Amino acid sequence: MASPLWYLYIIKEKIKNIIDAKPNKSSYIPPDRYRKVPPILKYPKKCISCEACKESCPAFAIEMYYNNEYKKNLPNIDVDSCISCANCVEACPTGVLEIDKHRLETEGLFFYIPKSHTLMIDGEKCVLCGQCKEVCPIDIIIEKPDTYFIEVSKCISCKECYKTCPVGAIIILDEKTHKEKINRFFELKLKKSFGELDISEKINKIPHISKYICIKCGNCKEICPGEIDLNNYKVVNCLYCGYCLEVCPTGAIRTEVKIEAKNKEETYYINEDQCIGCRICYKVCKVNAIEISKEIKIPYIIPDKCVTCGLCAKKCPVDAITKVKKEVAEKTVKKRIIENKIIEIIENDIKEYTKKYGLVKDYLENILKNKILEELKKYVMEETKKIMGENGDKRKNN
Amino acid sequence: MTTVPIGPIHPIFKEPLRIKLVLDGERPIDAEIEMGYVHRGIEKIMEGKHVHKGLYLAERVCGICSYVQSFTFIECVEKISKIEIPEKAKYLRILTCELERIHSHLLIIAMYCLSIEHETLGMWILNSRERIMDLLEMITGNRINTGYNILGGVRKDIDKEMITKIYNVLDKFEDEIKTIREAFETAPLVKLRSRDIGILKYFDIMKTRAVGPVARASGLENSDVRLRYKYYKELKTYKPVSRKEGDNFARNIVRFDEIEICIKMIREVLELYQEVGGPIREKCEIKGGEGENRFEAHRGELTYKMELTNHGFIKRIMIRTPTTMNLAAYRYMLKTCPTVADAVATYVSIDPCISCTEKTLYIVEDGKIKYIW
Repeated sequence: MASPLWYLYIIKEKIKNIIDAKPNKSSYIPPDRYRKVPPILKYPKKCISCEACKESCPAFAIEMYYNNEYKKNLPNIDVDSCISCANCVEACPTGVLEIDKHRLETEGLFFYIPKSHTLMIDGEKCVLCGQCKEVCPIDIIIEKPDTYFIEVSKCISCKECYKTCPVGAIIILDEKTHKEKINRFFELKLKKSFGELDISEKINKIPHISKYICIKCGNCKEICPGEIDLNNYKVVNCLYCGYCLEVCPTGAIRTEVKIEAKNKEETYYINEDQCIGCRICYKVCKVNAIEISKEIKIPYIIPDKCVTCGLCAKKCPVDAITKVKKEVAEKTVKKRIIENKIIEIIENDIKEYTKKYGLVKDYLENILKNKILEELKKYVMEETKKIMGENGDKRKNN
Repeated sequence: MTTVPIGPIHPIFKEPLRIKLVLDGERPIDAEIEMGYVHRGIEKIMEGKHVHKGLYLAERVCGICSYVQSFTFIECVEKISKIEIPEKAKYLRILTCELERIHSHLLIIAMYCLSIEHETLGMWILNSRERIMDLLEMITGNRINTGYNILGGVRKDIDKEMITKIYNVLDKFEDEIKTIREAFETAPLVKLRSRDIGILKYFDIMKTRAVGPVARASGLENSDVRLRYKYYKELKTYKPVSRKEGDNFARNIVRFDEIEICIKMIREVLELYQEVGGPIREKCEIKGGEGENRFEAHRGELTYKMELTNHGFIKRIMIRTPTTMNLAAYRYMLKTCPTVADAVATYVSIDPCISCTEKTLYIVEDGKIKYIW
């Protein structure tokens, strides 16, 4: 026991133990399909900070934080609340995230992209400027004759189009407002079932339904004391109570449509020296902000009506239209507006004068014509009497 | 007359519930059931959410049969918006569903064995259940909350290696289940504690609308939604199982029989799966409307009723789980229980799941509200 060989043996064993104490790696690696591993940021360079992953997460596990290294917002995945459903991997348009081999398996397949917000374009407000189509990172906005249209099944709801739209024609339907409206709906419905709903006139106009943003939830139809036909988007019988306006989650049922500009400081301005007077801008404008000067026969833009959609600047063949501040444009445009008004007043006066003149002229002409005719008749009768004589006249009368 | 309260916390209960037994001597005569300890209001949370989020929430309605809940939910959405899923996804859904049925049945038989103090048999069953859980993990990626279903199909495909592995595991499992069943049928302890105890008669089913294995053990063979479900009509091996005794023993034997049929069905589905090709999921668009879907969960008939808007927001939803009806049938079983210990074992034999059942419910008898659950 006490021999040096024994001690050597023990020391050797201990050293061997320390060397062997490494964990057996193969037992720690989870099997291929085991999904209790949260997704990882594999290619952060490709990220476009669109927040599609954040939108798709059902467990609220993803948040965006600014990264100093890459100088953009990157998703940060909370490991504890991740349920590893792989929705974010499917939603990512550039393939940044990865969970085992799921990205490779689903690449190129088409399916409904998971998300919680839905974006829709209101066709009644759309001014057809096409800015949303330019901005969209995945090119899913289609042009139609009367409006632009978002393909909901492919949309990742990055909200880029919502930010750029000049008139606020794009509507976000999110879960929070949807739930609030549903709660309000159930409250009212309970009142209605007990017969306690107060039906007095609160609105002046009969509301109409926009078919572009109606999602057919049926809230208005169930609460209405009158009658609403959702298949044809029509209000059949209205009692002016206004409950349908309170309950609609998208604002599709409304009394009036107002197109208002988001940007109220800037406007477009036509340079009169460059303009060739082709009047393409005048035909293209949907909000009737362009009028034609009667003095020099060249179009000008009214700054109060302009919504800065930029459609006229795009279509102009000589690039005569530029974006300026409102105050700069008002100086020159005011002159044209006053000129136009004066010319209009003069023209109106002339019109009225000519109208009155014409009326008097017609009246006089009519009276004169009748008198002349009567006198002619008398004259002809007298002449015939003279020629025919009294005898002949008597025979004719008999 | 004395009353013995059992619960809300008791070693035999997996979930909190209170049963007040009314005793005459040692014989239980009647029982009052009190609920509300795990009410989560999951239907109210789902209102206003998108279908993609509601799917994961529906999976968390139940902790054991989580796949069936998401299966019924997503089939209901597809029914409303008229989406047809590809053939491959259809077979994969049946495969996962039947595997989960085996594990659920084995778990409740094991719990029953523990409740009649036959712990050895219970441990055997739990041991062989682990083989099925491994298969589930291999196919879907997770053990319980699988997240396997997705709108228009399933998340992942299986390959040839997995199919051979499933066949091998099933062969082993079949031998094990045979010995376990023999032990269960011939053991004298099981016979003493479960034959002629907790009998539910055929006419009592009409009063309480019992469903699932509880109804099938009492002679009601047609109480199986799979008989009328579109996917199961083409399967040749599927046959409903029934028994006529209606006692605790028959309820467990029905479950053993169903496991055997499940194994046969899985083999047939795998053969059918290998014949078809194509993708496992499809592009689809969600349309608004109302609809209802029923499916045979492991405990009985499961119903999802819902109303959707365009683009897939849930307006309102109603879930009806099988334990609601089976708990009502429990009061009729008590009449043939000689002791309090048997009443507890009978409670376990109906396969109760409380957290599924905890919805706001009114039970009306003779025009008056008798129970509010």
